[in-house]
Amino acid sequence: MQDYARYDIKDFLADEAFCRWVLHQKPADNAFWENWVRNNPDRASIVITAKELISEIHHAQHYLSEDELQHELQRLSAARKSATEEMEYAESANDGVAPNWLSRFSLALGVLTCLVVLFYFYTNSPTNTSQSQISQESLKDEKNEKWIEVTNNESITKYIALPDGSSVKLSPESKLSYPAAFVKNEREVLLNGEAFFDVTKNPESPFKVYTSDVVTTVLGTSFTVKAFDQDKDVRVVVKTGRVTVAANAPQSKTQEPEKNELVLLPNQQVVYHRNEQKMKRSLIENPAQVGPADITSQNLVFEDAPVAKVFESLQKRYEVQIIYDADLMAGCQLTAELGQEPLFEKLGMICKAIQARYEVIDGQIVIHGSSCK
Amino acid sequence: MRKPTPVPEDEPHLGELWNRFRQHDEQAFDELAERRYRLLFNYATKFTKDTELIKDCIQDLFLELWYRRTRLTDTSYVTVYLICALRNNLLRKLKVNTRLDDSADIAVSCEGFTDNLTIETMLISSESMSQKEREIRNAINRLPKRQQEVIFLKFYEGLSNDEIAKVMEIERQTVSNFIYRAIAQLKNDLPSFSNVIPQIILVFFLKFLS
Repeated sequence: MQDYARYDIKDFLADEAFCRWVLHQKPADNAFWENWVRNNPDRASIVITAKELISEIHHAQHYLSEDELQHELQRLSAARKSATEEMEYAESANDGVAPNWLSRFSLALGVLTCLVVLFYFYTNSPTNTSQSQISQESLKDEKNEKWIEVTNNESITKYIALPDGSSVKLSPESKLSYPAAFVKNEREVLLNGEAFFDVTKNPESPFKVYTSDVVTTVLGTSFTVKAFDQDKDVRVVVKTGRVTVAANAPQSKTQEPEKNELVLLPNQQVVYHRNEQKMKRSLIENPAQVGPADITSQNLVFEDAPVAKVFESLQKRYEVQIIYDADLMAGCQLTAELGQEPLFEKLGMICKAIQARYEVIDGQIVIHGSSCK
Repeated sequence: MRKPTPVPEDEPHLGELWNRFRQHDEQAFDELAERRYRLLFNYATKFTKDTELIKDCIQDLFLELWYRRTRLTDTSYVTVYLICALRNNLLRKLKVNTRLDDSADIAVSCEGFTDNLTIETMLISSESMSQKEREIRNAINRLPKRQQEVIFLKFYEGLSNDEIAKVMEIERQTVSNFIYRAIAQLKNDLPSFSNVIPQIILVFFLKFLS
């Protein structure tokens, strides 16, 4: 039995049993401590302070917002589903030991290839004029295969079907190179100019679009890459799914590595500034609604609805992140009918009604509001 | 006084979910992730402030569990199992990243990795906190990395010193040294820490006087 009567606040904080009581609130512990405080009334203030501090230290270490949590859980659940389907497919196709061994081998092969490619980019000096040629040639040489090159000299978009079933809409004055047949586990194409990609899903084989400055990697989704040699910046815009964009150029030592890779969600875009070699994530000018047309064509009707509900509906419709202080704005209510007007117009209307304002930070919408009292 | 939010006492239920998901129960898997995601995310911030990296790491961890579900064994304490697994994955991933970064000293660059983004990326999630909690958070972030980790495991999840020693692969005595040192440091850094008691006494005093 500890001599709690001699404890100061530091001792209470360090004490395992005390900490367990504050955090877990088990009935047996409750009874013990209530009784102890009753018998030691002069120590009550220390106990209360220590208790409060522990729960504040607990709260101070929350770093995840509710929205982010839900988003990540949905993402995990979706990945789990496709993993299950994939596994069932693999099992029915092969039975037993082989697929595991095979997938490990192919993974190792994939990693090796990536390293070789990475190494190549690293060792090449970043002379801007010749770089796009160098990286494109290097890819082709390495594969030693037949590559098809399509250049669109006409004034209308050109439609290209890739060997894996993915489709590409190539803009005028743009050029796309791709292998006549994709080698297993590798889907890589080279782009000079602008194109919209609709990539067929294949979790085992990421689809990569190389341009002179950035590499865009996806598993199956649709997005646009715009990288004309004469432009100051390169742009990647996501329509559906999830896309990773990484800088292709060798980084200078001072740059932080994580700044050179960004994950994009629908309606987000990344702009790579060639001069500064920097990537910036933002929302596109007019985010589109995501989902089947019969749902997106319906108006959103709210009657004395809490703003949290309104924001939630918008988040679902546009698959964008809206960040706001739920506690602060708990008292805000809204009556409105939202139709087909652009997202930012909707946000403007809502913010006007609840006397708030919004801004777009790093591809997310942040609402600055008040308590509406 | 503010009501403390207790850590949910759902460990037995977690063990049950664990066993069900090993039997291909998808719902049990999702629920397990839901119940421990927040803890794992917050724990990971003790190693890196790169939230995208953390999210990917946790995603990989759970997917790996799902892939390996038939080969997983029974475990008596799922939470500690998850914490240990995430810790190993994170350290491995940070090591690989630093190697790509081409620096020789892993420990040094790991530290660099964690510190720069603190304020910027964590600003938004701190908006709903009280002033005092924000002070506490900042004070914790100024502690040495391993003390931060101990403080998290003890005051966020309520692990015992034995469990913390197991997770961090250090001696039990070292854990308790870390705790005392960290608390002393927090006490120094936080004016509110030591001021509370005199204030309360003062209030009593004033009541008597009036």
